[in-house]
Amino acid sequence: MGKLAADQLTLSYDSTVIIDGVDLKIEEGKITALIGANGCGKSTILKSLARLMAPKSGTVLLEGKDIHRQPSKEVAKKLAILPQSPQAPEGLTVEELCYFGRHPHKKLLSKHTQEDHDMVEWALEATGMIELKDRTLDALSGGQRQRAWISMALAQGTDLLLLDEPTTYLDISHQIEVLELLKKLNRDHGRTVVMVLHDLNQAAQYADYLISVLDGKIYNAGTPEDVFTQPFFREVFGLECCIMRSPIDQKPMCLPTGLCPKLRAK
Amino acid sequence: MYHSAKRRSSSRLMMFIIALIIFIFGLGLNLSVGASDISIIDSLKYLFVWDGSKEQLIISTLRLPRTLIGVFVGASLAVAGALMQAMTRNPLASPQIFGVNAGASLFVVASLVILPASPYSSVIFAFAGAAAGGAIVYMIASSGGMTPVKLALSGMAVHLFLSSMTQAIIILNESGEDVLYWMTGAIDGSNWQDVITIAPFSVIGIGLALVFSGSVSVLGLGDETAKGLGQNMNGIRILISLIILILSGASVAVAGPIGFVGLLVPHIVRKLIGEHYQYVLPFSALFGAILLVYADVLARWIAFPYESPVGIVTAIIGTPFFLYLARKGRNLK
Repeated sequence: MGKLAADQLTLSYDSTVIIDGVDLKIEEGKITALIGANGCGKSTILKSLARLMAPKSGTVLLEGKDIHRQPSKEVAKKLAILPQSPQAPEGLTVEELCYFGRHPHKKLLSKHTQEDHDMVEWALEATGMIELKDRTLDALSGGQRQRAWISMALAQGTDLLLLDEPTTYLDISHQIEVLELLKKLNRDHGRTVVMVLHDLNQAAQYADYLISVLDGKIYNAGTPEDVFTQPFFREVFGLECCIMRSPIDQKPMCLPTGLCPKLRAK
Repeated sequence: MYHSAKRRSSSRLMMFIIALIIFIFGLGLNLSVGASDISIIDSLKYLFVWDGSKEQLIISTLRLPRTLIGVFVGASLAVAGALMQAMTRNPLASPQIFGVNAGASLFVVASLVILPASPYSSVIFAFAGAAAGGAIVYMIASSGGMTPVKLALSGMAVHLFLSSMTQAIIILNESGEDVLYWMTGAIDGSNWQDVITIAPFSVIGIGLALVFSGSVSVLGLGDETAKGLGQNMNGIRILISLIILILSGASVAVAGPIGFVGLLVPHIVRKLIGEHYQYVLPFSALFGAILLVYADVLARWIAFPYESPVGIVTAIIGTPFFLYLARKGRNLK
């Protein structure tokens, strides 16, 4: 079984149920993308998988055990989460930010160990931020800043990397910069990546598995080929579209041709 | 490999040494200035060499406790302010803006009127008042998300309300100028009993803050990131709040509500040495002590030969700085 899974997960804000009895399993060593319309609860699922949000009922299982019954610091050594558009104090340098990734490994009053230094250097190297490590975050482009945050998550040294909309607010070249980095981390360094993505074609191109969310339930899940069907686009996004194959790698792509007649009538 | 990190840490060390020299000079200046003239060298010498002269008696019974109170109060308020700004991620947070000083003052003044004052009872009242003031402001300001503007507005409103209550008590009881003088923040009447009162709280509070400085830094990354890094959020928040109450409560108990130290110092420190609280906190303690020790020297010169409350001096320095922050705050959202 996978390292990370959810069992009958029900999530709610106050009394509003957002996610209702969902089962899911994250494939180890693969890239998984959570997709769905705005407000469908995909980010909520991701937060809950990262134990940032306690379930109303059901459990999130990390290595087979309830994630909320494990010490948060121990979880942080196995799973890193990058929230949507995270904020840091102005004036923090890339390297300083990256060192925060070692927080779960640090004991009170202890100094950084050689392992900490090595991990940080590796994380900066892997994200291509080593030359920029002395820059402050406010002096970086959007894509560089996101890479700096990813370097922090990497420095945690976890197998699991969860990211909430890592490409939001970035222009297209910076989006590709981030997605290519995540692909490299997956392929070359064996990281299991779970992310929420808005762009469906990017999700199909970069993820091995897609999980689509509709009305608090999982609508369908599987490889991009399995998930990209006409009924899927109609029911989850209310779109008529033409499904094609990428001429490069044969991954499915969608070309929206209009809204569903049913929705247009509304 | 860690070239730049080394360079930064050596510049921090330089800055620390320079600050330490300024601090020691300030101690000497603070001890030497007053009604009877004693040179800086002599006053520092009297600390270590006992000759039983009149000057030495003045230093050891009158001036040294006052100087030490300046050191402890300055360091405590600055560290309390730094912790508040870190915890709320809000640049305007400080013991004064947060209603903590005003709450502590109200409770202390009320206790002076209701109960005869022993130093420890006023400390306990100061803690209770600090907690009450801080809790009220926090509750009002954090409903629906705390912004710098909301904190400043609700903090000022509560501050003014609590301060006028305090003034009402003073006026109704005709307790006279002593309490009013104390209300501005004054350390010129300090004695050894005050030093004994604040020293343990100051040392324990700042010490604890330093031990947990790594976690304080992590709070700066926001709730979700900090939680994701395995930080126990409730635990660290409760701990930091307790430290803040201890530090600012004990300061108000011995020196009255001295303003602006907790707001001003952490900003200057972060500008100079960066955002890591393992450096921000000790530097804040040192800079806070420096600020108050020098402000106390100025307080003696303003209306020489009469003494002025040191709170007036910190307000004169602090007000323009606060306005500068408020102007800058427009871009902070």
